[in-house]
Amino acid sequence: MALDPRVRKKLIRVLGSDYVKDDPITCYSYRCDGLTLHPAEPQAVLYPADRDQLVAAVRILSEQGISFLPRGAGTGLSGGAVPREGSVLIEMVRFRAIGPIDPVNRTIEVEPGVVNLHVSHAAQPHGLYFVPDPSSQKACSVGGNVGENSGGPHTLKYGVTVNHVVGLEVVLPDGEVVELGGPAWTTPGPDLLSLFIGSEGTLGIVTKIICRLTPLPERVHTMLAVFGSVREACESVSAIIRAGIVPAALEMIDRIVIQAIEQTIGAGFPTDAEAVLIVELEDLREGLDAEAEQIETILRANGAVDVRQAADEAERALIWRARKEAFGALGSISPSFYTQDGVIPRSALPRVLERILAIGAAHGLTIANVFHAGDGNLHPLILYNSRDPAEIEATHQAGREILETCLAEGGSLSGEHGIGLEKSHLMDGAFDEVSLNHMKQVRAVFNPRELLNPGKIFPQPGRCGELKGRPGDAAAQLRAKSGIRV
Amino acid sequence: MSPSSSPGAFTVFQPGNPDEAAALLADRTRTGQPLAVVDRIPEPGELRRDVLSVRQWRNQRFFHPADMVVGVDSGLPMAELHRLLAEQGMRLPVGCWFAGDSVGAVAAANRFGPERLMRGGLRDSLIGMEYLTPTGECVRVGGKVVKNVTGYDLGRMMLGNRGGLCLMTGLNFKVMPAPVQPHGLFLSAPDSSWRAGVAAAHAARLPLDWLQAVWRDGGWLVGIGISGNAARRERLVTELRSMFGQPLTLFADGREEAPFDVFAPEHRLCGFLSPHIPLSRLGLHVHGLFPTRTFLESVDLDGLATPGDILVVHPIGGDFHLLAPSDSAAERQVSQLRDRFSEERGSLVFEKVPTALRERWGRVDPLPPERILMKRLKRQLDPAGILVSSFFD
Repeated sequence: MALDPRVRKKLIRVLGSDYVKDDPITCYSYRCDGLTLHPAEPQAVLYPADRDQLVAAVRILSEQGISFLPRGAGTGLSGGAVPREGSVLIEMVRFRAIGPIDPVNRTIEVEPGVVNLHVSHAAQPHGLYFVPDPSSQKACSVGGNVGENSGGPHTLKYGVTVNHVVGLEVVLPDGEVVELGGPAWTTPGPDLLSLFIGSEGTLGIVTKIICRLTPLPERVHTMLAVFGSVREACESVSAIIRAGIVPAALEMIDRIVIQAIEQTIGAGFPTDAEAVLIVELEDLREGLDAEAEQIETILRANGAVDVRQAADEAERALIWRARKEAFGALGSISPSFYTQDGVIPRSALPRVLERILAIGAAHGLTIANVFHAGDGNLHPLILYNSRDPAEIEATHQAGREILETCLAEGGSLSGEHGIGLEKSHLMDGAFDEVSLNHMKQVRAVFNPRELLNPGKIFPQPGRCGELKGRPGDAAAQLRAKSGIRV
Repeated sequence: MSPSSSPGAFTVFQPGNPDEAAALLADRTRTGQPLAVVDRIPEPGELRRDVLSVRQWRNQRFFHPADMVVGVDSGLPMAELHRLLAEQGMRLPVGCWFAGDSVGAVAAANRFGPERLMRGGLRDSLIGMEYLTPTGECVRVGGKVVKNVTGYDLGRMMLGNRGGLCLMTGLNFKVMPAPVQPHGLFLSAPDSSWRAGVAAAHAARLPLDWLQAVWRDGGWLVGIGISGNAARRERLVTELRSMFGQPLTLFADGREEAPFDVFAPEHRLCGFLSPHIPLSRLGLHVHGLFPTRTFLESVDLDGLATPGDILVVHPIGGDFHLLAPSDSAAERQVSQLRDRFSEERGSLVFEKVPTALRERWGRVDPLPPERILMKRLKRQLDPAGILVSSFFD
């Protein structure tokens, strides 16, 4: 569906003809983000250069009653930037200004299209960095991080995006511009800043972000603990926390992922291990050695057969490269995989991981695990063949059962990827009707006509039933799409 | 519903549980009768309207130290929560202003304290909330796990709503292990030259646990928290003494001596304003929220308070509290604050000022867009105006 010529003309007048695209190739290119399960083509793609252009474009779309949504780098894993059929997609890639940085306030202003890692690069000369570090941090945008409230391995100690953003400039669906928060860290009144962070682009489009920066640690100590069983690795995680130590990161990788990593990256992980734990400590050098010794004792007491210390920055970098590129490495052993993002209480890790493996076995599927163990934030990776409709259906079912297991354990559907399209049909399992309705009431304050990013977060009537009720049709639909490769 | 009382023309409601409170709110919505949520019940003579207090709800709902999570009723005193956590070596790094403040009161005003510089405020610890809407419906958002991006974060949004959007009934927090071997370094100084030392420590990115400066009796008292093993503490002590260039006295937590006992942990976490002026004698209280640069470089902190007043400053983070036992000089004091901070990006909040001054000083014209949005939110969530809060006036 191409743009109405009159609307197209108006948009070109404010953006320029190079920045209003509704040709089939462009629209096809933007049919999905990192989640390819539910592709849908936008009516058009706009590329505003600055806030004023964005406001003008939003006003035109709003006046015409055309739905629209923002898109960052497109690395999201829950379909938050997948358009509903007919929506106009607003690509934020041209919002790339970075700075100014204020080392005294420990803040930096950035535009939403800035790549996550570039914020830390800009802050590094001041001995500061931006904590949220999702695996995609070399590509994902800060605007996307704000939309999804992204995390990463180092959120155990320091928190997720909401803990590292103190101000936003936002364009509301009617074109109104609002500043939320500011350099003072706290604004009197209801915390609208926290509401917008993680709202998945359904309340407003972010045009400026004031990030809170954190001092780079004086010293970092990274360990790799090797285990003969996943259960022992899980119990070590709890034992470390019980000892009163909160490492900066506490990450687990299971055998399947270790083998994929060794086939691709060659990080030197032992391929006969059932699991490895990455433990990272940060502090003044005087505080670290004793803590590292204590942790090594705990790890060995809980079954670690080997505890390796990264001898230098190069060894540390290799460990983290292996962790952050683990998803990609899985491509070497499976053509397709589907990533989950449920969270459970940390102490439930051993039994939930066993349950996940049982779910996989019951569906004839292999499930690999690489995840934020310290947070209890799971990333089960369901390996499947995208050419096999039955396997696709089984993958859906297994994914659903995993998330239901997380909820049954008192956990949540998502720790850092968001709900998007992917998990919206499970929201009524996570919240009662009153609570969901209250969220919708709040949305109505900012996005009363649901023109901005419709169809996200909240259950959509019929979508789940459609897939479940006609499995043959659903499989055919899914096969026709581009697969679940994430 | 019990117990409740009607001293004079107004009623104090103290529902026994959230169901009773929900029924009360639903009834009030039907009849269009507003009320105010309060922490402490005012003296009969101070009642200006019907009020609702939930201080009688004091249960611990869950506490799993190994998972670093705790959930409590909103009426539980903050001091009681800190005691419960300390028994298991855990800490919620958020202090309250006055001894006896409830957890719900701290959340409703989004308060924070001396530990903010390293560990943030409530928004950095809150993981879930249960609240009643003005119509009496029970909403549960967030959850019991430390990481959660499922749906809108209405719990964090409700922080700072000052009783105008909901009645909080339960709050869940992520908690952290308490600092190891906590100590404090202290100094007294006639003027705010101590700021140079704080600025140097901040620039050197020293990992301090807490920081607080107090002006009273004509001089400054400064406290700096450090922790860790002996080697770590020794390093920090050496560097801080060098940066401040003046004597810094070292005490282990809980062993402070006067005048530095005002920084003792029972005050830092459980009422850091209380040692200076009892709440009952407080005549004026202005809270300022500004960037770190404001406190370290831009604004001269000397002369902000006059003899008899108290100024409590958390320079990194950052905020100040101006406290006075009387409101007789309020107009001059507030005027001076507004002048001195007029060029800074931040907010002055009039926590306790004479009503006439509040109306005059509290009015902002034009209202910033963020405040307009907050008012829209109020109209949407409480169209009948059942929950009275001066913030939304």
